[in-house]
Amino acid sequence: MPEARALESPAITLDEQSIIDFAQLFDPQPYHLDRAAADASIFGGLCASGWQVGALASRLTGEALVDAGISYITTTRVNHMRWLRPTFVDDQLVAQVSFGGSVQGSPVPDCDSLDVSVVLKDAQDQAVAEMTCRVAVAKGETA
Amino acid sequence: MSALYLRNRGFEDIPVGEFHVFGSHTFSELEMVEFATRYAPTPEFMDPEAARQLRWGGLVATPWHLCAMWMRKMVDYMEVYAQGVNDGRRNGAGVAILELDWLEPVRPGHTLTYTYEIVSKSDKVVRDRWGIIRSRNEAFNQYGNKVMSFEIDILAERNH
Repeated sequence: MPEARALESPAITLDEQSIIDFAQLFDPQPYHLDRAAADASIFGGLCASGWQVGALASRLTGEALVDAGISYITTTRVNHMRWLRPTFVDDQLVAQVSFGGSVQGSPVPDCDSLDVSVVLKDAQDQAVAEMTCRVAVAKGETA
Repeated sequence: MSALYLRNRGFEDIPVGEFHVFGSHTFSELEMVEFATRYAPTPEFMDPEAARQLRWGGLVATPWHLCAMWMRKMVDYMEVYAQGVNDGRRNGAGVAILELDWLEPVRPGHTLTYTYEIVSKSDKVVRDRWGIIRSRNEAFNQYGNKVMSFEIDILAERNH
């Protein structure tokens, strides 16, 4: 059996402003907005909303696939996603993407589906989140 | 005897089967474009003109935008119904998402209504302090069609 091909996305750095911008719009809880409150919270420091992390994981997954010549359109399903550690200010994230199967058709018009496993890692190579998901790719371009 | 507000309830106080319709939001073209610019920068999601010629025949919201708005509506709901608590939040940290499906496109001007139901509580105790509550969450558009559903495991502080 050939080993499944694993791709690595470009890196993205989450600065304080982008964490706070997202939190103000979508997740206005103290540990995503305010350093002092965050230090005293369950997370132990100002950290990104888990939904911002999820959105970035999909963005990076798409970039890794597009770089590999696969025309990623969007994510249609997350079978499972687990947040493993908080993403703190200035953490740099990279998505490692490996392939599962491909399926004919997709909820997205003119697309087929590709199942992928994604590990989102920080600069210390620690896993921040992992997810298995189904993405839509333009027809005729599944792996 | 003091009242139990939604946000300061412990793990044991939260009943399986509890159901809430906790918020609605009408998505504007501008906010869809702004979200996509940061998190899904492709023409289908961020360029209203180009999107007309593309696969959905017009701009659609990025999937995670619908989730992000779920979070905002949940926070707002908890803040409004948690009077009497300075910062007594005893739950909220998410652990995992299961079976998140985006089922139909959401277009500018569409209104989503979000619901959640507590479906199960785990016996597992995390760090001697937290229980895990699983809820089923759904979003419906103005036609009554389900456009998103998922389950999420969230930590809730135990009373004992």
